[in-house]
Amino acid sequence: MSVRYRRRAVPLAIGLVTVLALAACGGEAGDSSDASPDEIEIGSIGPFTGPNAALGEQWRNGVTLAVEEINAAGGIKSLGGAKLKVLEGDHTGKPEVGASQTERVVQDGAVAVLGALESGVTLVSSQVTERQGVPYIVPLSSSTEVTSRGFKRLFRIIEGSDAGARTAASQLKELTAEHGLSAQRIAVIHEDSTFGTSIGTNTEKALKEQGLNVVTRMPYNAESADLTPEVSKLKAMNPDILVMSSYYNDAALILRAMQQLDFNVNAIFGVRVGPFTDPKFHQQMGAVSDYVFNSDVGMDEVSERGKAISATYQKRFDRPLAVLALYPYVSVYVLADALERAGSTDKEKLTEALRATSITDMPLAAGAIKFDDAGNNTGGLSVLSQAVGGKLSVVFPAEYAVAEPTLPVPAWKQR
Amino acid sequence: MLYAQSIVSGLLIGGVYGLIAVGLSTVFGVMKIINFAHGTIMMVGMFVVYYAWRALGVTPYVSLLFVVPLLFLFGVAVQLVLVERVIDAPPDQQLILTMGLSLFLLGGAQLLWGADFRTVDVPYGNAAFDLAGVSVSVPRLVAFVAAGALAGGLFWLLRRTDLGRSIRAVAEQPDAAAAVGINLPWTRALTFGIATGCVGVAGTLLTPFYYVTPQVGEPFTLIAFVVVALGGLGNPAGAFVGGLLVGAIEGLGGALLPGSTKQLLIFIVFLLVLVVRPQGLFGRRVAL
Repeated sequence: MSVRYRRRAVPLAIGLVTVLALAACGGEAGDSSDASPDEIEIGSIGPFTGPNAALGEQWRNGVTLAVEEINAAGGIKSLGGAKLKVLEGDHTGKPEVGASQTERVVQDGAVAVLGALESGVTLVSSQVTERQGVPYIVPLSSSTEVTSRGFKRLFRIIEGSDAGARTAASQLKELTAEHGLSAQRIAVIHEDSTFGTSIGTNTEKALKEQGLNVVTRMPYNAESADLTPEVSKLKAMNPDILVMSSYYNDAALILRAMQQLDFNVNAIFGVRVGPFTDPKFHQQMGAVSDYVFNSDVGMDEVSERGKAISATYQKRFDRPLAVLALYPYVSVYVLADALERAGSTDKEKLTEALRATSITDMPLAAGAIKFDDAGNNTGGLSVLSQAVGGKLSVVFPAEYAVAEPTLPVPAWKQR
Repeated sequence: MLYAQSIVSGLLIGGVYGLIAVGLSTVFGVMKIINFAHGTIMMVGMFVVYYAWRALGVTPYVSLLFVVPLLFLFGVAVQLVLVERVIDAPPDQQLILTMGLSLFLLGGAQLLWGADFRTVDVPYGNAAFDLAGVSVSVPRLVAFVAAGALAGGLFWLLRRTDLGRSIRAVAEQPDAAAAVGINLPWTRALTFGIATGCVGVAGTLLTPFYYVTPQVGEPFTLIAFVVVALGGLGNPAGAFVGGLLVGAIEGLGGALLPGSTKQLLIFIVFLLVLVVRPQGLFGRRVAL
């Protein structure tokens, strides 16, 4: 950069800092705790732009729908029918932006924060709320680290990656045994940010505990423009089962590379692969994503409420409801329930109320929502789903299953 | 065999990196402007290809017929209406302009089309043949060959035609070029149009085997910056060779090193080049 540029950059930087400082001060005024407010602000921190914007949109949809429903039904009754209002913060997939956005929504008066989809961002974003004494609800970040830091105000709805990995490993063992498929050489591939690393390492451990043979665990960079070399390397190891944990673009790249390289396995078995439980992803990927399994938290498609929400969501947003929207949706209800019981927006009272949560009427393929001391939902559970012909169905366990698993999987060239 | 496969895959996609970088490098060479919107403009082209296929059933390669002119005109318009205003402004203002354009296009695309993933599902999208044990993807090979041909055509244009001579004159000495009667704004607009046309070709060639989303251009832009610096700023021929080099190194890195460390290999080479040949592998003087 030229000297001229540098000379201009200094006043520019000073100006920016001043503006930010003023903006931060501005938020202090409207703080009310025990009086009944007209509006209750809740923070929603997600990746609304950036590489995971496709996930962030669904997060936003879920939150929006829940808030609309709650407000239409009369708001928070114990607080004089106060309406919920969402303060949104876009972290664009970057932890440092997540922290500053969380700071901002808390300054602007959010009584609780929902965040932040990617585990790596959640870790940083929840530090801000913990320090400020504001409750933090985690709909979807499954890394074990999220709840292992001794935080007192963090509540996670999704089952953690350690428990999820154990469930996935036992599902994989049962599925292959039942259908007589060889699972002698399992390859684990995962994206290498906090999310994928946590799932990948836990899954490897859980598979070994099940007595299964893991030939490799390969981390990769989710923001790569091309993953063909990584997939070639996997193919050379000749695995019979591929276990993967991915975000959107990398999942698409891996599947396409497998098809191009004619790399066939007995089963592609996703663990917490968001796009694999997104019906829209399967509609758009067509044959490429057919037959993939995914062990993930799921929706109770059998229940009446599950069917009703699916229909409402489809109508409102013109796309099928996925877990990515359902969990933020449920999280808003968990928060609303706590506000109702606390009868206050006081941080301490709200935290206590959240800790005492016990909700059973949510359409999750899981038990009652209750939190242990670490903030983990003790009713969390993962179900196994499979996409066939672009349609996604839960296939396991029987309690929530709406279809039988399709096995064996046809080779790429036979599709 | 594994390394051969990785290098081949890397080289093939490297052709596309090269073509993207050629446009970036040309714009920098002539206007001294870093176009941050380069990748997002490619994304716009890819959406045009996608909707042409989706709505009208036009196969991606045929879309070249209208995507390239469309992006060319778009580039000309961007230069005349926006960039021309900051052509003599300090670099920070130019950066803010192209960055702003990039954010505008990104946000607009997300608003208009949503952030979802889309794929153009054509029968040849996953076609591949076996070459001595190495699987070669047909659409990637097509992309590679077409990118090479187009880059070659661009050098020919720059070296051998009147337009090319005017572009090079504007790059070397804008004032002197103006003095001998070259229309500066118009030449710059054509240059920008050629660059966006190139990136339109790159985007179109990607669609049969890639996906389309508003964010699709970002990783490519990032790589293109490394490629451009590697090949020599403002040296389109160097940019193309740099693209191949980065593709091959990245492919090899993916096979050798775990996870994100595959980038390490690229940046080691990059640092070495910066230390040993700060002007880039091929310097500045060769092409423009």
